[in-house]
Amino acid sequence: MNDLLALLKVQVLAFFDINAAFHAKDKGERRKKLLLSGLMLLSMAMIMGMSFGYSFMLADALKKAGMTELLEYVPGLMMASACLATFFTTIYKTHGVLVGFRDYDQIMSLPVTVRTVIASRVLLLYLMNLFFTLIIMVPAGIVYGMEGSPQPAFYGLFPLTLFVVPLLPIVGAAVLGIGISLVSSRFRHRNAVNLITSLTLTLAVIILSMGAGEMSADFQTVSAAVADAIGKAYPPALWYLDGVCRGNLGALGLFLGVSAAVFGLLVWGFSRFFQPLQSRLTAHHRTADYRLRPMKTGSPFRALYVKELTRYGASPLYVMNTAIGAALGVLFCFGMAFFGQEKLAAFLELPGSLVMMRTFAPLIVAGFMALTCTTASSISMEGRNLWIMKSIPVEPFTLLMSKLAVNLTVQLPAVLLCGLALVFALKPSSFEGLQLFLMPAFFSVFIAAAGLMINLKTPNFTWASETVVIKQSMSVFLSLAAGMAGIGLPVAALALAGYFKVPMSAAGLLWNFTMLMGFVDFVLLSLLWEHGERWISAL
Amino acid sequence: MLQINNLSKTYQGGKKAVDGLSLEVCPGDIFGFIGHNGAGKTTTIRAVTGVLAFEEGEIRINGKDLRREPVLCKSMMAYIPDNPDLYEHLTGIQYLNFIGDIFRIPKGERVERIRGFADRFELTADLGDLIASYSHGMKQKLAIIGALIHQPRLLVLDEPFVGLDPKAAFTLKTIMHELCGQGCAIFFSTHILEVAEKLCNKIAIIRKGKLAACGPTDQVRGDGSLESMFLELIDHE
Repeated sequence: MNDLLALLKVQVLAFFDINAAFHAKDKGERRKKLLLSGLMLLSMAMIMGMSFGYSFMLADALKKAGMTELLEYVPGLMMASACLATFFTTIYKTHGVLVGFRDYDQIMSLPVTVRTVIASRVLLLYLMNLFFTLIIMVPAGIVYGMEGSPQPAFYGLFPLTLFVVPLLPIVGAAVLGIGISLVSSRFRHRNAVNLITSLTLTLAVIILSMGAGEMSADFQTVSAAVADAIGKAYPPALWYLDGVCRGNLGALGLFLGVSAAVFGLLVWGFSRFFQPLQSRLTAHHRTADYRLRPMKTGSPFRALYVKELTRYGASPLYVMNTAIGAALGVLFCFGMAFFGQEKLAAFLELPGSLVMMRTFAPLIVAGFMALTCTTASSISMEGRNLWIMKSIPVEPFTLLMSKLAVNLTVQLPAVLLCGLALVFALKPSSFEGLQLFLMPAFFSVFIAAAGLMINLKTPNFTWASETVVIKQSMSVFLSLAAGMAGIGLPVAALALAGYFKVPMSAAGLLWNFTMLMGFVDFVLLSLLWEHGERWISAL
Repeated sequence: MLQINNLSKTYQGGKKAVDGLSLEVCPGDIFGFIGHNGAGKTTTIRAVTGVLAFEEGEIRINGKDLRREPVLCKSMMAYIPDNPDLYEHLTGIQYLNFIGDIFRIPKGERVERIRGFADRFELTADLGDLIASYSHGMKQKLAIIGALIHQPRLLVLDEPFVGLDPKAAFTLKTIMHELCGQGCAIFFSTHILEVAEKLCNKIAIIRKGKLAACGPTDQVRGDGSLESMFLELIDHE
């Protein structure tokens, strides 16, 4: 037990970079880490607030419609949402947390059993997801307690079952994540196969889960429709609902039994095949039969760009977390062109989305590009290779532009495809058509440059797992916040104008916003040109 | 070729790693930089190669100020760190071609230069494989080849013999002598005093960030061995 706790402690400290917040000698570094902790707490509070707000609005609407018997679906719905989110976020964590972690040799050489090592890795994954489950589900439970009339047993069962909720999605994600890695490992270009499989799967599940959410508007069948939708999205949520909210002991037993059994099976199976699996996943193709032949030469910028692009493609996690925004954008715009805007609006169930899409189409594409920021972790990704970046004879601006160019390589083709699809779908005037390309393009440059600057100021080179910099770093949080703030700016301006009854044309405002983005791009690039050398030197 | 004048480096938290260090490495020198763990060797080397920013002092490469003309200075030197952390997602040949592009090695000469060094270090056949699949020694050899192919005028190495097999270590020593014969300067740190004694024409000993001894090897060593002299200096605190 002591071994397990010791291993878990080291992993938690490494994964969340906690020590730097308290023990870093550099006050600035300590401040940055504390700021990151504050930001993470704020994000958690926001997610809890959103969960509470959504649950409360749902409960309120159901009560107003006289459908109080449906209130029990509130925790069920949030449970299904938490499980789906856990499933998606865990697939890409398995490689790096469960297998393929950097300190494998060090950990495995310690005098502890393989079972203890595995238990510590699985517990780490469990703790991360439990945390997430709690912040989504606790507000929903509170709302149900306030607005519904739960049975007394609910107050005991709800908090207790919270600890079981993440088990099943973790198992599903782990099996799938390891499966994808195993299949990919058979190929020479394993990263490409891994990436294509993961991306296809993610997009497929997103589309399917949206389809599952389509419900009947007929009030008499709405109860069955809600149950059907939840069941389709995540079947064990119905057992949970029956057991926890309706006090059905059979269903509760089924939920707890299946969760525990499947989780136990994962730990058992994993500990049995852990070492061969690890060897298989970390093995490299070696041929040792290379013969020198003439090579393609190029400029330093090209060399850096190719290096950066190769680095990007070598990490499926990096690509999945950044290219997903561009991929969803293209999917959305092609969906609009293919199905027609009316059908897509109905499919997404967005109120007034028809008008909104016509007006805000460029901003919607820009929103997808805000999720596509490779630069926010590109400096941190240098990790132990930082010495190369700092010792090569290249102008700092060239170096920074190579990172920015990779971001634009992901964004701009997506902007182009989105623009073409939207031109086909919306039949805009030539002026509006230009806007469809121009604003998302300017916004892409903004996101890429802002991400780069933020990462230059908040780098992390001591990561043990890529997940730390790609998914959890302060620079990624801040870049996302910058993107959201950028998108929110014109929306807030229009909302305020509406509130104060100031006449304002949405189209005119968006043109002004496009020009503003162009100016901001110029300023950010000038700053990188002016201060890039100093910022790199300070790394 | 390398002039360090009054170099000082204080880390955040107040630790002075290098304190008013001055030395000069001339063309043709093989200059050994010796000190115990934490004495300031790696800090000095990282400052010389432009990897680490420093507050006080001046570093000149072939007469050029490193702080004023960093790109020009870096183009004249090569650096091999103590731990060869290279781009593991690239193959060996992709890494060398990357270095070739960065240092603008002419297309016509690039393959021949790579062939020359890769053959000597017996790494040619492995160049098509990912660096991630290399052993520590192979990565070290690749880092050395990458440092040599652009014909630097100053070669800066941090513990270059760690991880190399005896044959590769011998090859590296031979190449170091050849480079010096061509007017190149070599500045390297080492813990292996026998290597420093046999290989270097000049030696500097650093203690607590300050230069404790510096000059031609024979002069620094005096009548005894370098080891006894080094231990005497270190114990004299």
